[in-house]
Amino acid sequence: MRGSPLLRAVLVVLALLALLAPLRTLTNRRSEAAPSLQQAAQSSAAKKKIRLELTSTTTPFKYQITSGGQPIWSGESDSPIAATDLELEFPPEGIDLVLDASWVEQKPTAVRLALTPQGSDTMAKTIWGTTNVSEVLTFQQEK
Amino acid sequence: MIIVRGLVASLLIGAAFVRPVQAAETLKIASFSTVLTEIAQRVGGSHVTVAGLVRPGQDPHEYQPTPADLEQAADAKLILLSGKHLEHYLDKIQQATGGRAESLAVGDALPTLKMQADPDETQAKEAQDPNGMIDDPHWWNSVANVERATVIVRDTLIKLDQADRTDYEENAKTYLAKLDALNNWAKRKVAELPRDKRKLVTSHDAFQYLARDYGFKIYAIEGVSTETEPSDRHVAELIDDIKKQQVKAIFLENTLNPKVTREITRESGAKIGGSLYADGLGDGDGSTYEGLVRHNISTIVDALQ
Repeated sequence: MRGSPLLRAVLVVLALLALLAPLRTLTNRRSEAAPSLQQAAQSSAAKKKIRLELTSTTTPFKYQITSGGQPIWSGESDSPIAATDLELEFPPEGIDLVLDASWVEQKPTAVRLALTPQGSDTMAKTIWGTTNVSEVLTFQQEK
Repeated sequence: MIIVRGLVASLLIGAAFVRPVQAAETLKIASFSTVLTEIAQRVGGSHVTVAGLVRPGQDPHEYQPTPADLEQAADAKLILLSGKHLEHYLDKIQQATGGRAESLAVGDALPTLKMQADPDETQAKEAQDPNGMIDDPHWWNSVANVERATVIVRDTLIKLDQADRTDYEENAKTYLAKLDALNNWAKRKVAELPRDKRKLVTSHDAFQYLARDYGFKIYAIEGVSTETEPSDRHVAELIDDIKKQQVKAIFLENTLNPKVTREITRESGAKIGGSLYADGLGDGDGSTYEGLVRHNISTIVDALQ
């Protein structure tokens, strides 16, 4: 029995069959993994959680922030500081945000937009206006 | 006494007739740049007569003054040049004018971006730099530079014609306000395009100043001038770059043969994004500077989105 060639052959076939399932799983995982790596390489601008904070030395003030031609945050604030959390694409090349803000009172006003990507340092830009400001602000993380 | 009175009266009458003729005389300007022609007309207004010798749509890299052009230059009190070594026919102008006219190379007073030139280009041959680095002459593709150029032209007109100083200042102020609004519009329009998509493939390397102002990266098919054809190796590298960078569109120029560009789009899979005004004013949208900038920026942003 121990030395039966037939039994040996059956055992080898069974062992090969047992290996088939994990082999198939492994090869399937590889073929699924390939495109996702490719996608990651292609999409350098994955979305990141970002906190935006707007400060105006004159209140109340109206504001709108636009990214990629689309308004992403707008409102009116009685308090000097307004803040929000949102998800934005933030490529290594940086991001342009268009800041429009206005207030009723006519006086020199500083408006500061601070941007903090999750887990990164805050970047901030300040602009001045008398009744309104309208400016493209570029934020770039230091390399 | 009667004779003296008669003489005085004659002189007064004569002066009354002479004055309007003097007032109608305008400052003659010869311009070798389509953009400077517009600036001189806008700032000078009715006090100047501007002969635009490089005409809209004409390639300034290839331009050679005709005898008629040189005659007009010789007749001018002010000669406007792009500068940054673009006018390789400068000696002909100097010969024609005999140094009588004030010659103003506006671009030479503006900050320069350097670039690597093809060794076969005239500018590269004339370059002093041992590495073949030359001044990029296409300063007008930055609105901020055109604003600076306007101030330079205004100050020169005032120097040559003090009597009309107020008008020159007022005209320049109006034109500068328009340029400022144009620059703000361009910044907002470009902001529609994510910064990682700002990859500009153009026929020749004419948009460095625009790229600096609005955050684009340039991939040029030809060098700084339009004189040379790109090498096969350069074209192959460019096709590779376009594929790697996933550039969606490449752009033609109003003064160039689009054959090579079309071949590259076939190989790389990028589409033709449209035609740009690279070397100054042209026909259609680009017949004014404002139209040129609006056309170029809209064409680029819309095609790369």
